[in-house]
Amino acid sequence: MEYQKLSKKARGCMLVNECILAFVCTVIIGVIWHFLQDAQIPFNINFIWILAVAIWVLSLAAPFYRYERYRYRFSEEDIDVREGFLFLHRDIVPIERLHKVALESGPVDRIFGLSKVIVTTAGGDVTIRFLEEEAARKIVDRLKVRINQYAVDRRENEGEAGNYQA
Amino acid sequence: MKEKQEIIRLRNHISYIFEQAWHWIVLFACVLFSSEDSLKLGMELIQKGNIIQGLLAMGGALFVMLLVCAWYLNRWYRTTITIQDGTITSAKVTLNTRINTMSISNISNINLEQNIFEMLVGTYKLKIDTNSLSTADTTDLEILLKKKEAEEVKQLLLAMLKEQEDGEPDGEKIEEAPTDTGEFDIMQGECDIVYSNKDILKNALITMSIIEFAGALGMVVLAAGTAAVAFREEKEILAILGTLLLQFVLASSLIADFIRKFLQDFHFRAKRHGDKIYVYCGLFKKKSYVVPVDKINAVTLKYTFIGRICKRAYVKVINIGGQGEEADGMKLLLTDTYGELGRKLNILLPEFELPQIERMIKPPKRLLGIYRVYAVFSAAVAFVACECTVALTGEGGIGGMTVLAGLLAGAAVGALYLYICYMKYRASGIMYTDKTFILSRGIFTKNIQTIPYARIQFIHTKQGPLMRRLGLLEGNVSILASALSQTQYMGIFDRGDFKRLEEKFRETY
Repeated sequence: MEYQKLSKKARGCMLVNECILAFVCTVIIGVIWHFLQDAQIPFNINFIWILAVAIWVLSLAAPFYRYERYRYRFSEEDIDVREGFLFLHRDIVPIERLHKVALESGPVDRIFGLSKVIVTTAGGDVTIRFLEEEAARKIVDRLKVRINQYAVDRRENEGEAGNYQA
Repeated sequence: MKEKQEIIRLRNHISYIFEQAWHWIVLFACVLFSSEDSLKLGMELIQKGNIIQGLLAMGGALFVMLLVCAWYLNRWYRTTITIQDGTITSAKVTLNTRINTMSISNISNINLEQNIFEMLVGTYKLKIDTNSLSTADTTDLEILLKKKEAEEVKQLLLAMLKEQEDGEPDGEKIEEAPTDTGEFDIMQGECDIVYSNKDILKNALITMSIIEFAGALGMVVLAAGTAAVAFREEKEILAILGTLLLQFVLASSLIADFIRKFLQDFHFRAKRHGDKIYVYCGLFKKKSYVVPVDKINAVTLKYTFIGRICKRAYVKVINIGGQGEEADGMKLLLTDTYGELGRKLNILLPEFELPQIERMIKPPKRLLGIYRVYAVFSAAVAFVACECTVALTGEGGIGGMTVLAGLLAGAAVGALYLYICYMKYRASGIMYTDKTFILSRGIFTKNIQTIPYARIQFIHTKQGPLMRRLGLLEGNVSILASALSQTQYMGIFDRGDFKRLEEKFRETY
């Protein structure tokens, strides 16, 4: 199965999320600037605004890179997710080892009609973000069927399979 | 099956109240006895027959102490554990009612523990750990029972667990299960691995924290030096003894870890019995645990700093049950040479083999280039931080000296960072066998983990801009374990090595 890209709506959602974060950072920088204006420090306090500009530049650029790099694949056996801006992350999760599948959506996600699928294994969880609501629901339903199928198969094979030999 | 149809209801031994509340009782007793006047007045009133007035005169401390006792008594009475129809239910019906039910098949470990107080009373703490990581905090159980009862309950649970795992029909298996061979009987028979006191002392010394070891050694040298100087200056013998005693006290507090480890591992012995490994140890706090072999998710070979110098390691097994000191695994073998560990592990756990360290794949040399870049960056940050600190504290009037100090600080930080990275590089390694993935990591200490591919839950990789340019990847594997051991960091390796892991991992599902 080929890797799939996110829908265009995801880019907008990423952009809004990044802008909110950049806004919060700008407010914090503004507060620091206000309180340190009269303090004696070795450099001009106005330079702190360069940091704010850098944050905004990165925040505006990141969604485009992240969107281009974001790939996911739900095959019969596993889930493979690649994402990132500066650091590229990849997760490979076998469906056989899933314990729980959850569907979640935050306020910004809902504005764009997006959801995230959180898959939980015995060793932690992995989140697949920015999926279209309908697609996410289909994925969850498919995963549920697969998990149940694995549970039934495992129960049937329990008698046959011995302990693994390392 | 008789036992299974029966409802077994258990309550903590009554001494549980004292064990839980003793610190409060001691605290309030101290408060009570510290105010002599009210105590004297209260006693006089009680002697005269005015009991209530007497108690009131003794003050609120006594009242609060009684209230605490009543609180714990209520909690003891209302806390029960019920075993019924293959499930185990813990119920705490106090102000916050909490009832947890879990299947016995979810049990990963059933351990018995005993501290000094419990040894005096003759009770044992039965600890039941569950398989589930997400619910471990709410479903792990602990109950204080008389020795015989604790052993019986443990054997019953083990038999029920075996029955559920084997999928045997109801009724027969438990009676056939080795309930007659209790854990204490098993351990009292001939054990597969027994350590002598000398081995345990050696183990305590090798697993000692290097800081404490250096501190203790320093104190001994200092004591010898002080004594030599004092004798030369012909000081009074009492003054010399006083100084030596003080240094001895300081040294003994530093070697407390060594003593604790010796007591904790005293009479350490282990035995393989069927598909379980039984371990028993401890002098004052006796501890026995059972590790079901099929619940082992990884085997760790641990080298401490001293252990790396002496070429001696110890073995821990990772399963979901560990808590506190055992969060990173349960001790299976004490420190020994590599060859001897391999022989002993073959007796206890032949399913796992010790890896051939010399065959391990080392990280590519180009990784050192990344470390050098990071070292230069950290040196620059240290230089800037140093200059800013000098400027902010108003000590900027010494001109070139501050720049020199900043440069020195930067160079020191950069060199230290590079040294740590080099040590990390030396300890790093991975290896693939047919069924297991082996990874080695550390800085001053070293851990070598053997993880069956089938026990890996998922793989995570990460790649920064520099790594992308050099074809490197950083990654970790997740396994079912406590939070401390859940993510096993692999380190930075060639992209191809991760591809191989991915292929091996895919073969298991």
